[in-house]
This record gives sequence, C-alpha cells and structure tokens, in this order.
Amino acid sequence: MVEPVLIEREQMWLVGLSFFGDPFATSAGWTEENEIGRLWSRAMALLQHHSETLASRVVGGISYEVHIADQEAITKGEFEVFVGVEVRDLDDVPLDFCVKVLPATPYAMFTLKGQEIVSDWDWEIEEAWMPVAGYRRSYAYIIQAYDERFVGLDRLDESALDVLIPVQRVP
Amino acid sequence: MDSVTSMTAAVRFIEEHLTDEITIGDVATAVHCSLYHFCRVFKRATLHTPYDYLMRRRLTKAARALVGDDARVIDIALDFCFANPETFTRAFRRMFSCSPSQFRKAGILDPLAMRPPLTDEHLAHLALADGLHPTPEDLPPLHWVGLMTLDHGEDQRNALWGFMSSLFEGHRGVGGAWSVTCYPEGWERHGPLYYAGVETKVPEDGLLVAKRLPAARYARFGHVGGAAARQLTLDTLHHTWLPQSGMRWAPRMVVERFEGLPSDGDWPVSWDVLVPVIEA
Repeated sequence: MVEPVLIEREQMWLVGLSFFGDPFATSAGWTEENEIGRLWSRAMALLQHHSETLASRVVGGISYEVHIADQEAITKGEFEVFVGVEVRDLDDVPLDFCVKVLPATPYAMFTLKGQEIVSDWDWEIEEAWMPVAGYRRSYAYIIQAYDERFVGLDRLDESALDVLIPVQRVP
Repeated sequence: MDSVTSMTAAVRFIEEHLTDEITIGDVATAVHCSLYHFCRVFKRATLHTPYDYLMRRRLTKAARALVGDDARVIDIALDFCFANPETFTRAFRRMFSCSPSQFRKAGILDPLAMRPPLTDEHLAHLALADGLHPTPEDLPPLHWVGLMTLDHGEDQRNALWGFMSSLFEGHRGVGGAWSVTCYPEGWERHGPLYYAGVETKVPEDGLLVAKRLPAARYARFGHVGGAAARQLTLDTLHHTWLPQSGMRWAPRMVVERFEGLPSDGDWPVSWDVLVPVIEA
C-alpha cells in the first residue's frame, strides 16, 4: 500500500442518505445489489431530483461514502453508511436529505488503485501503517471519496479511490 | 490467509466463545480483518451475517441445555450472554417459534431447527457452489413408481437405487429419476423417510410403491459435489436458506431430480434439489 498524504480538512457538511444495519445481510458480493449499492441508487436519484436547488452549493465533483462505526457496529457488525455530496451551507436543504457534519481534523489520505480498492485496506492501515507512522484514529469513521478517477466496479483495474482516515499523532 | 481459511478460523473462534461476551469486532480481530471487510467476507462464505450466526449457535446450545438439564431459564440465558430473560425469550421465539419454557415442556430437539456448527466441509462446499441461489419453479402434479425406506445414510440410498436400476434395466419408457426425503413428526427418532422413484409407463406390479405429489411451487437449487456433498447442500437449505427466506416449508420434504437413475456408486456430480415452499 502506498504512503498516505496527510491533509487538514475544515468542518465538512455533507447532504445525502444513510443506511444503518449490516449492509451485507441480503447480499455480500461486490457486484451484487447489497444495501450499499441500493443506498447509492437512492442517494443519487435524490440528488438528481434536487439538482437545481443544490447546484450552487455542491462542492467539487466528489461523492462521498462514509462508514460510521460505533459500539453497536463492534458488537453486532451493524454500521451506519452515509452516501452524499459536500455542500457549502445547509440553508434550505430539502427535508428528504440527511445531513452529516464531519469535524475539522487531520486526515491520512490513501489513494487506492485497482484491486487495492476491494482489498481489506482498512486492516492494512490500522495494523501496518498506523503503528509505524505513529498515528491513531481521531474519530470512528472513514471516508471514501469517489471522483472521475473511479470508473466502476466492473473496471476496477482502471479505477482509483481516495480513502480518508481521521487521525491524530500518538503522543 | 485466503477467505475460506480465515472464515474457518472465525467459525472456530465463535464456537470456542459461545458463552463469552464476545463482539463481532473481536471475531474480526481474531482473524486479522477489519470489521467491515470481515462482515462482507463472512456473509459471502457462510450465507449468515456474523451476528446472526453467533446468535443462532448460542440459541441452539441454549435449546439443548433447556431439554438436556434442569437449569433455570434465566441461568441458561445468562450462560449464553443474553442480558435478561426478555431478550433471550424474544430471540428464542424468533428462531424456534415458541418460548424457552414451551420448548422445554415439549422436550423435542428437532435437528432441522437447530443451527449446527459450520464445518470446514460446509465452507469448502459453499465456496464450490458459490453460495446457493434458488430459482422458483412450479411443478405440475407428479406421479412416480418406486420404493421407500427409512433413510439411514448414503449406503442405504445407494443400495436402493442399485435395486431400482436392476428392476428397470432394459425397460423402455423410463423417464427421469426422483427422490423424496420426508420429515414427518417424530422423524428425529427414526430418521427421515426416503423414496426413490421414476417416471414410467411400466405397470405397477405390487412390488413398487406409487407416489403422487400435487402441483406445487418449489425453490430449486443446483446441487454440486455428487453424493458425498448431498448432506452439505441439505444442511445449507435447512439451517441457512429456509430460516432466512421468509418462506414456509410445507410439506416437510425435499425433492431431488436426477437426469438418469443414480446407480450404486455412480451418482451424477450435480442435480436439482427442490424445496416446496409457501409464501409466509
């Protein structure tokens, strides 16, 4: 796995939709229609529906998938997964959206390419990179940032994906 | 570590900690996976979510304890890490369709209702079969002639089909071969009933038993792995697919459809397994 780039991000406002549960309860394959795939479909349709309202507020051409793991996740394997886009402000956000406010924090940003995207990169980061680099997680979530470099699961070898892990230095 | 190997280790870890307060995060860490990746790989390898599998194994052990000893229900609940009797009863009812007290009173351990531990063979078989994906199939009324016995294992089924082959050898007009495994009430004491039959115009001669099944809807599965893996497919149907399907299994039987007559020691590699189902 390549070395990350350490970046600082200000507070981020994301609008989109959430799912809570085991996203693989119905189907576990990458190419199958699991709850994350369905969440993307729902969120993208909703964003499209409100595209005019949001047009002036959406930041960049990036879509985010955020995995939030609390104690429930560790106990039962049930997560919150959020899919959405970043906005500049939260004025007049349509009622049917969920909003996530991500804190200002440093991130370790890893750019995954090809098969790395479907590997267990989270474990690699946790077990291999963090102890050596002297970092630990600052919050219990991870961000996957999808932009034009990600061209689809059926074209993984041509795709790239940025993963952002909120981190802090181990004192 | 490949995914089958690590999921074998995960199943073993769960089995060793059924009475310990473990989390799914603990299981993932034990097999060197992130929680998220582990949940995906476990489901793909076993067709259970990790938490569902852990709960079903705990409830199965608890059910055995209810029938097998006289410990108080609350103590059994606490032994298997349920926080209180209400949580235990709710989970128990979901799996066994009755309360722990009713289960103890009935005193029947139906092997099909229990979730036995997944073995290395089950995981290897699921990987070979790429899971089990049912296709709905409506069958017309079926009519066969054949023989029925108590099913005491592969040797007996082999012998039955060997006898059937000798009976029908050289006969024209013998169509497909079918078997029906029935699980009537109390089957756990004697074993299921196994019927081997053929579609044929050969007249019934008194030796053979005619069997008719009415038109019904079935969930059809493609079994692979020959006779040696048959029980692995049935285990997956009984203990994984049926409890998750939301379907009612009725009548309690499994139908198997073969291309030709299986003969002694010469079973095909694959055939159809059909489970009669009714939308719940």
